[in-house]
Amino acid sequence: MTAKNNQHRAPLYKDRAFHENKWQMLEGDQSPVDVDRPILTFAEAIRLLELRANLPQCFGVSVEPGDDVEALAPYLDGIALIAISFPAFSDGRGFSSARLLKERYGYKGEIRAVGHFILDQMPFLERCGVDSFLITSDKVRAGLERGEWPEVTNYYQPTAHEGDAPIASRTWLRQRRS
Amino acid sequence: MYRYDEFDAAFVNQRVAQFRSQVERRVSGELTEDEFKPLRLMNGLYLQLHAYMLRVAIPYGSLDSRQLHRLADVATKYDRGYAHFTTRQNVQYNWPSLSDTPDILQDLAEVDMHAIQTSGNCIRNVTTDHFAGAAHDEVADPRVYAEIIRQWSSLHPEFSFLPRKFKIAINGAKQDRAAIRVHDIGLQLVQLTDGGVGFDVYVGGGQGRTPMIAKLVAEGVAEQDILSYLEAVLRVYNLYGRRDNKYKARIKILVHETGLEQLKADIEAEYAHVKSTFLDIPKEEIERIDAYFAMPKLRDASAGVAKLAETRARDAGFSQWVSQNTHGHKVSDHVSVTVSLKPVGGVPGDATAEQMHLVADLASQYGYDEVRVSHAQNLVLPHVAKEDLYAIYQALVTVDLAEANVGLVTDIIACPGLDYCALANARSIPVAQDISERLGAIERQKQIGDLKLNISGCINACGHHHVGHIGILGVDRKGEELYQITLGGSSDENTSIGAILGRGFPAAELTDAIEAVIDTYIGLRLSDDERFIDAYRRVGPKPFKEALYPSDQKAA
Ligand code: HEM
Ligand code: SF4
Repeated sequence: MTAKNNQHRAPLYKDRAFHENKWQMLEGDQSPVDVDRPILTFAEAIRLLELRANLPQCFGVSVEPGDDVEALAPYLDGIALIAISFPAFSDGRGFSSARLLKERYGYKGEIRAVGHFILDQMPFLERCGVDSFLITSDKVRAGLERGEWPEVTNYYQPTAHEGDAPIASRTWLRQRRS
Repeated sequence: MYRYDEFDAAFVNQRVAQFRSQVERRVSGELTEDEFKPLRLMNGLYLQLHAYMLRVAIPYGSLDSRQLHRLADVATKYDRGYAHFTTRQNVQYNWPSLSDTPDILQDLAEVDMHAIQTSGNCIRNVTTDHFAGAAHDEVADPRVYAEIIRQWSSLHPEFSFLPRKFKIAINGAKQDRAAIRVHDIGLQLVQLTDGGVGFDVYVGGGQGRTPMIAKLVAEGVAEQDILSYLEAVLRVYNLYGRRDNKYKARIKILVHETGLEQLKADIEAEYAHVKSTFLDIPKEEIERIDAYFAMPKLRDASAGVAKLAETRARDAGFSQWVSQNTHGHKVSDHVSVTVSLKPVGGVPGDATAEQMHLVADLASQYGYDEVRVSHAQNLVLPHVAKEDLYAIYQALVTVDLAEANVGLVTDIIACPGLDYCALANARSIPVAQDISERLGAIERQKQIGDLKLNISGCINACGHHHVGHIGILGVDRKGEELYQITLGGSSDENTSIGAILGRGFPAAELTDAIEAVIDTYIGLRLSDDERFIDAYRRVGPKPFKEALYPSDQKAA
């Protein structure tokens, strides 16, 4: 079994529950139109989008840490899913990519975190605009199954995350709406 | 002093509960040390040579007596009866047990303190001038902005996994007492032409193995925009800072490699987006927080000023202490007092529980309940009536804290070095002690005059050796501990990085070498008032090289 197949079978965590993952990364020379819910690499997606090539109704784009999400801005309406990749938990670029997509470029589709994030980062990612998480780590999965969501629910940073309620006393305060 | 409201208190309490669960999972073995590491590093817990080390944040170095008493209690209850004040205005406990750390944090939370972001690749404790709010040369009080930045940077969802740690310093006075040009971001408060207050922003300073002086990237950013500006800088750094090599990951390298003009343009472009979105700080909010930092109602103590002169005439030791350890205040019958944590032959920055309790008592009795930690690892009572100085001095004498050496050669900054630190090449503390003993006689110190001597046990430069007028750096040469000497560093408004003078010395010869440097300076200075740094800048390294490496000179 290849790593990618493995990823395909990994569960998805969204809205505080596990779901089946229906998306898959395009492999080798597969054509996006032959695959149900394909995720294209960033470079391939930009290439096809710029060519106005034939793309399926429903496709996703993967964003690696070095990819500049601004390049996707003109095409966001047509993209159903953006999978932000975390090659290592310590690489925090994906946090900025998520916020830029959601807040600056107004992306309305699903933002998904994929890769080596740790449980304690998930609440931060959510506040940066991540909607779903592909769970490939047994540790993270075990924690989520126990109902853990390690978060301080008073926030000192205003972000565009919808679950946050403003606090009257200081304009930059937010609190989780429970 | 800023006081937590319910929101702040709930924030810190939740963080303590979260950390407690992480520690329990580590103690039970559910988490391996590798898995625990990123979590403990979010909370100031390091694994050192002999034990865990807990670093507690003292936001912008500001404490009240209740907090200082609590720091002393923690030292007694969970450690070996002392604590170490650091150059980043924080405090470290060297011997806590892992399982006690959640209780320590709980005890601290009761007095509005925490260890959030005292380690890890996040925005660290914001530092500032230890005389903030009291100094006579102040444009505006930096603490209000430091507090706002502390809040904005606490558990920031986007900026908690930066390429590297990130340090911000703010200076509000004309004289730079916060070393802002050796920070990732240095903020200098300025008066704007419209009468408002704003910031000159310096980016990319730092020490470590590639010391650099920060560059001016923006002038006069208005106070209400400062969080937007910081968010723009941090986002550019988070996205573009190098992550392939930890020694090249600081923002100073990004400035260096991208080029100042390009980076300025990148920051400006980002700032144009961020500005006027979420982060504007309304004037009323600034005023509301500013009110916490209002000058205490100082009592009229003008009548006691004459008495001070009489007491000084009677007690020479006291008089020396007043000249050396007090600083001009906004109100003329008051001063700021620096309590030196550098007794001759002692460990720079260490304080026992007894000493902390006494300083806390003095703060509540005479000091309007305020204490500061200075980046030179001393404690400060920012507001003291001149007529109370003698009582304070006499109390300090009883606990060995009355050393009259602030700004003199024995006011040494030193890192923990090989006595505690896993990264050290060499010892720092015994070297500091030896030099301090050699040059400690007060007559000798007065003869030498203003001099900053800083010691680091390795190139990471925690002891600020690059910006010492005289810097000492521990290096490892084939298993032997050697010390290199640098000259000409400074961290004030004329920041400079010291230059290495020549090959290193073994510990046994180091104090002689330092004394030779000092005697060379005394021999060539134009007058007793020409400070070491000024003389060095005038004459350069040559005479010092000749004094330390005479045979090289003959050969050449
Ligand atoms: C004992 C454990 C400590 C360890 C393992 C440690 C480690 C380090 C490392 C690796 C750096 C370089 C970071 C870089 O350049 O990116 C550094 C810098 C620094 N450390 Fe420490 N440190 C320790 C203790 C301290 C203490 C006790 C102080 C204060 C007295 C301190 C103050 C600093 C400062 C001010 C810098 C900044 C220099 C700069 O990067 O601009 N450190 N430390
Ligand atoms: S300078 Fe080096 S030896 Fe000293 S504390 Fe920092 S890392 Fe340790």
